[in-house]
Amino acid sequence: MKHNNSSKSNEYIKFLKKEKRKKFIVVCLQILLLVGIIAIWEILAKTGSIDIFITSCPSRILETIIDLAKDGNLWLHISTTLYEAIIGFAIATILGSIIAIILWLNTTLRKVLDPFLVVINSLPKIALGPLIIIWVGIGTTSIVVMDVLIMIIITTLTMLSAFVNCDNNKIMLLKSFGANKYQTLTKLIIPNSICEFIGVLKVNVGLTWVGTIMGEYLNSRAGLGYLIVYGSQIFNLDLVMASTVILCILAGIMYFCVAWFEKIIKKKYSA
Amino acid sequence: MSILKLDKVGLTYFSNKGETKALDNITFSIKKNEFVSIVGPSGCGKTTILSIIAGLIKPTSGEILIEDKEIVNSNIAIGYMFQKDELFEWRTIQSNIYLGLEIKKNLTAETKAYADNLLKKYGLWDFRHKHPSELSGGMRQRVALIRTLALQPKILLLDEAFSALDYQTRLNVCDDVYRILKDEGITSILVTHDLSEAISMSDKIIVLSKRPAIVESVHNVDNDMTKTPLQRRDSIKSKELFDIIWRQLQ
Repeated sequence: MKHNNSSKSNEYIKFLKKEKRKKFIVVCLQILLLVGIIAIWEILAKTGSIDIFITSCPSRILETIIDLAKDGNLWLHISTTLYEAIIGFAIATILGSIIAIILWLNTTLRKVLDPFLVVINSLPKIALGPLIIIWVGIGTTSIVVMDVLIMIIITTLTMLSAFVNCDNNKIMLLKSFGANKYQTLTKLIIPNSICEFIGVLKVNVGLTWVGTIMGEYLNSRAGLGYLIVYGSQIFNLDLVMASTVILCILAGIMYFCVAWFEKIIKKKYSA
Repeated sequence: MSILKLDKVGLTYFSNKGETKALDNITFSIKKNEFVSIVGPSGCGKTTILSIIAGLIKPTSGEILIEDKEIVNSNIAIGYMFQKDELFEWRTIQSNIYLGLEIKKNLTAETKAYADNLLKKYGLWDFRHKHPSELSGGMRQRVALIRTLALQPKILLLDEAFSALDYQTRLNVCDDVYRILKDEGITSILVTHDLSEAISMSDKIIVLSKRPAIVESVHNVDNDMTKTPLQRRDSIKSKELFDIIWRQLQ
């Protein structure tokens, strides 16, 4: 239903105003909560109620970030971690989906690999850390490999289950048109699984930070994970907290990118 | 001349638990432009017969002849309509009706125009850019029919094609579809568990037995063909035939 201004009843205008007000209140409370936490943290630190050597405080975190920026190191660390996280995210999502497609096309292969996938999925990937370093060496590659390993199996399993659970009647419909397996894949299976794919993106956008930071804990010379480990070793909690805050912001931005992508896709695929 | 003939068709399913005979010696033939219904107890294999005719399942024995030729040598298009419309939500109405043409790799300006014309003819042209969820159940089923008709089939198989609709819509869609099929001159086979529906729409009714299904009897429906299916529901002849078939199925 479309409404233009002239056709809106007074009750409807009131209803819209009320909804807008509710939304406004929620946003205000969110800002208040964030500002409140920062303010209380800062006040407790300034009055000496908490030990800033252990907890740091907002003003010192900001100072640390500015210092890092002045050194020119801030961008190095951010770009290193961001690069690893995005590359890992892209490789795992694309490769995982391609493997799922191959397994959907080949039923025998799927049945053969099923138990292996389940076992590998339940294996804590961090246990493979030392192996990865021995096999691919230290540095960015090993971090990306770790990152990919964390996401790829769950990506494959989720996409495969979406493919396999496609409505059988729809497959029969395509068969009645004489569709081959490749046509069924492109016309039905893939577009039908777009919601699950967005779900995978949302999960991976969180997991890729887990993988990257874990990889950087194992071995690294730069990156936010490196800063956190280094900061904790020299007991510089300002540095640890500053890195964590930057990480929060980056993860937030990346999540919103995916949410934005979801909006576009949903617009394209349905009214 | 018969357009479609099933000759001693039998089907046995195999599974780990054993084998199940579903169809046994099914023989019948259908004339051009005839509307035939298949009725029978539930689970007797009515849908299986349609799947065999559509070439989705291979029969264990017997053969299917289309215009007296074996089905593999025939290039006559067979359309299939399912219980639900099975429209693709991510496609618009127009792109949904092109689906079969795309798969057959036959999406040309000419076939597009033919499909578009069907949309215009049956009152869906204004909805061509909408998505299926924006249409009512009856309209969606009409889109599903046009999607099938876009392939210009000579034979149309309807598998409980109206049973997912509410009763009101169902009566209307029956009339609608019947008119469209007669207009386009399409031979139709309807599988249904609704005897009244079968009697009101068909020229001929095939009654199947319990599994393994055999053809129990074939009834010619002697009704006033100038009337719509809805009007025919009330005729005395319809009621008599209903009683006969009803007793047979008991």
